[in-house]
Amino acid sequence: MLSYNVAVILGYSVLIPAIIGLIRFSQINTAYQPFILFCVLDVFNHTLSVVLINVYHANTINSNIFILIEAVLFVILFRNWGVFKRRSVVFYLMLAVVALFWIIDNLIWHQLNTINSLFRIFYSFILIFLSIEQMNVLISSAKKNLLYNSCFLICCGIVIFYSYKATIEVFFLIKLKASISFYSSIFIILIFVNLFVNLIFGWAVLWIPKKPKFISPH
Amino acid sequence: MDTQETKVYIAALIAAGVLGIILIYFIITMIRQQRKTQRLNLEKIEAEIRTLEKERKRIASDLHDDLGPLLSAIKFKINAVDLINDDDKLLIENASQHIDDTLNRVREISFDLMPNTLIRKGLVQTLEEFIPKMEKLVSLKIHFTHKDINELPTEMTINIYRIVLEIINNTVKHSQANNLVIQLTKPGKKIVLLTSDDGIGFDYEKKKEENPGLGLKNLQSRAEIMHGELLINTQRGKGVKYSIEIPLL
Repeated sequence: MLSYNVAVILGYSVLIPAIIGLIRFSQINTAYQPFILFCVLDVFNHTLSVVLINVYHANTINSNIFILIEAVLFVILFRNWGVFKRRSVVFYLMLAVVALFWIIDNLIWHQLNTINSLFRIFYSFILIFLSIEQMNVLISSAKKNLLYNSCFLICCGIVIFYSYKATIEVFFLIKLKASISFYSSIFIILIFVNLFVNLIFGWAVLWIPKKPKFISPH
Repeated sequence: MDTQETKVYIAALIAAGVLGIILIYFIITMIRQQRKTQRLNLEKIEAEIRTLEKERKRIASDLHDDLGPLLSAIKFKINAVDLINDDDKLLIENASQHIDDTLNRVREISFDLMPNTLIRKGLVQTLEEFIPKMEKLVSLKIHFTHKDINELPTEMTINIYRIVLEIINNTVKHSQANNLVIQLTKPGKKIVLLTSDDGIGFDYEKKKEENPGLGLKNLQSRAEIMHGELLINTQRGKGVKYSIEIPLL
């Protein structure tokens, strides 16, 4: 069994994209700034979770609030990448639906201090669909190797992480009559996926293009 | 964990492994597909441009080598006719003048299609010959500078020449500019072409959505087949700047 301390340390792997992002923040294309903000907020949320778990043995409230911020930042990121081009109404509609679903799941159906998996599964699907949409665009429009394309790499990270997240959240949703040890073991899968994805995000942040003085016509 | 939980956990681990394999395969397939699409696209553009240049060269050669001498021969024969009547002499003079005009026009068209100097003397000299001619026809001052541009591969020479022509053409047609600066340099193992005009510029995103135009696509295609990168910097009222970097492979 993975110890709690190791899990906390592995969770801090998000520091890699966050630090690289902060160093490059002033130079990079502004379209990617929501992603850097997400990484920094993730570090902050992780630290807050560690503190709250030590003091109150629960981190559900901050986690539930963070997932809303996370979902909104990613939808804005996809808007910046042009997924909602010529369909700005869809962007606002998506933000509204995300916010509405969060309110329903966290404030109406359940409470803010419980683990509410429904919204987590819902926004994971939204992010996966948006990523696949963007990846399809990149297949035909990207001129350079996709392994150095930060947009593609971030989309890969999103598809991998949120596919696992949505699957694992199902265990929490159906509330199996299982021990805490079982749920902890299930959660370990996500910890390692998170580590892998944070390494991808770190690589992606390194390749974020600089602010464009010139426009590339594709 | 009890036995039942362990079994469910192992099942979950296997499912996670399967999901991981599917996702990695999905991503690798996408990367491979992009490379394939990119390669096919480049090959298609390259074939189109090669065919176009080949046809231009053939037509230019036909005009210059076949039609030119034929017209000269006609002129020579007409001038050789011994006439007494003044009206007839005037008619022949006019006809001879028309043939001269036609000959000049044939040379111009031939030059536009494929300048002989481009292959024989290179890019810089061709542009130095072309720019003054262009300046006489339009109210645009072209400032051309170059540094370290020696011999370039023929295809690259032709492509860069066409790019410069397209930029000049776009500037004349759309920019309302008075000045166009063209810089051609070779910093290290690449050729850099920078141009800027003092015209009205345009809203790139809006233009791209409405209709990017053939000119811009041509520039992009030619830059792509040389594995180069074309970048545009423009805003309404701030002119247009092009930057093209072409690696010397």
